[in-house]
Amino acid sequence: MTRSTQSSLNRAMPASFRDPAGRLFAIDGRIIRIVNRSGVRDLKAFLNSSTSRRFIELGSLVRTDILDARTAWSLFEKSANHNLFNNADGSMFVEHEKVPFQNFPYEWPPEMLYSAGSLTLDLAESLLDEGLGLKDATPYNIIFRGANPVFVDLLSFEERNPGDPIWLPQAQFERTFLLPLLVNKYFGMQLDQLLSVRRDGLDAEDVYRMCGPIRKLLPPFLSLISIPAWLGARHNEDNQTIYKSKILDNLDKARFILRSSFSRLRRILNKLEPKHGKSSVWSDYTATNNNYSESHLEAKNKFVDDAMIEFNPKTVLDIGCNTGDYSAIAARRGARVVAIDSDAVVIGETWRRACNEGLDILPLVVNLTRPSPAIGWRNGECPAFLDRARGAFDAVLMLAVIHHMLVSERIPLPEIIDLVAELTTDILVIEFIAPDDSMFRRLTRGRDQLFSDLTPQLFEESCRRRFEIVRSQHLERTSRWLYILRNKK
Amino acid sequence: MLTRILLICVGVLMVAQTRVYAYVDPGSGTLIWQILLGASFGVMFYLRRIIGWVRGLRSRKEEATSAKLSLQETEKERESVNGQVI
Repeated sequence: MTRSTQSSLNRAMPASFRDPAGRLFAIDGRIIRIVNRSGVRDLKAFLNSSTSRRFIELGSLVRTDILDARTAWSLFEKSANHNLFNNADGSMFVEHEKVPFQNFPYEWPPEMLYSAGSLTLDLAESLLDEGLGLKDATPYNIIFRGANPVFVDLLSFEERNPGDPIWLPQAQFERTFLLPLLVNKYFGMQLDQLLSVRRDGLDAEDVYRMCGPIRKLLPPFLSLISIPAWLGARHNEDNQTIYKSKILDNLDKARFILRSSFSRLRRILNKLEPKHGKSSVWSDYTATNNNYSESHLEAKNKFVDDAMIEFNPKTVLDIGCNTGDYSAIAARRGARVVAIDSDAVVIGETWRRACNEGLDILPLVVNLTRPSPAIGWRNGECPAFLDRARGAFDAVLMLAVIHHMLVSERIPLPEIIDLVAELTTDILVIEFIAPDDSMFRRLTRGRDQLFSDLTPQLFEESCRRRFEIVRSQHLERTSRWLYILRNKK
Repeated sequence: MLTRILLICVGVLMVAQTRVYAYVDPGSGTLIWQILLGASFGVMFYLRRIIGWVRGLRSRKEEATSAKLSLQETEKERESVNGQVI
């Protein structure tokens, strides 16, 4: 193994540099955290709490084991960070369960941001009686395992003064959970566009500028936006007294105030819960807006299902998943599925479906033609979608999607095939749609001559450069063909 | 009354606002509002205690009254039984 490959495998995870209490490392595929002396007490107190045990049992908190020094050294001595082990005097080493396929808040539909917010409040409320609390409240503390949120940042917990009635991370909770959900619900702002450029969400002042005079006085805007904006404008920024802790002698009163604050946040969060049955350009595609008859859909479902049975992929990427019909087929056959689509509404519906049916599907708002870039400090905090996805899947599904990439996004066919060959290690189940198909023609809008040479033969030729054709099936009385391809590697 | 006070407060804030569009101390308004809400929750804490104390007092009174009544009834029953015996 070359030095560069080894160092890329054994590296400090860039997103963990912000917390002075510790640092996270990926060593030989294992997730190891060095906890600095300043963070040891808080982490031990949290790991001993009944809340941590309960949430780990529920699967809502990342499983964590304390490592003895010898085990930790055996891991670090091989890595480029072995000097950190030597300098880690008085520290603690823990190993976290690895949550498959990293995902970030700007790839979640509103439903998943709501669910992550709900978990954050559950934890904060549950910890209150144990003298512990959360020191930050950002969606970056959470990763989704399938459709379920998992709190992964164990250095976010701290012992708190029981007389303190103020939850300092409340403002961050409002900025990163409530206000993005609010502007999504009332102004239709897309979370992927909003959160990919604003790591710390929105300020009340940002939303205040979007509101008309009447809206500013209506709930939940009055309490969540207008009053904080008015108070913030009147506040002298040199006056730091508001940041001084206000400790009460009456501990029952402090706890009552905190509980009431959490209840208020919960009420607002519930008001902002995304509703089922929203519509978008793509939400009715499978039910009505397509070229398939009942028998075509059945044939297509069977083709995908047979491919899943025959090749038994453990990990599947469903590109252009819509409401997750084929993701569900793959998940029912035991695959762990990542389902992507550029439409947040259909991804929200896929998430609901995965939750209701208990399917292992991670739905993400990602457009493969413009996938999430690497963002954050030095472009290193959140890796690009393609860097996470390359070689991470045994199978890729691309059903009724390739014509959108060819026509709407003008990506040449060989480019698409090359990219997919990087994503799947084995199987590609793909649907080819010829230019005379009415849905294809809707996209070309009179520019038919651009795709006049695109035939099934040309498609197969392009595929053969990177894949072997296992089998194909023509959907009768349509201009659509289904293929199972195998990566030549 | 409370609604009137709230409306007056909102009116004063709206009239008195000076720099809403300036980039001030982000989150300071939220924190001040959190402190003010915390203070109102603190008032509620005492109100609930007072209400609980009054309810407790009333229920104790009711218990005492019902105990007195049942005692009187028992005595009456005993008297009537004694009368029959006599």
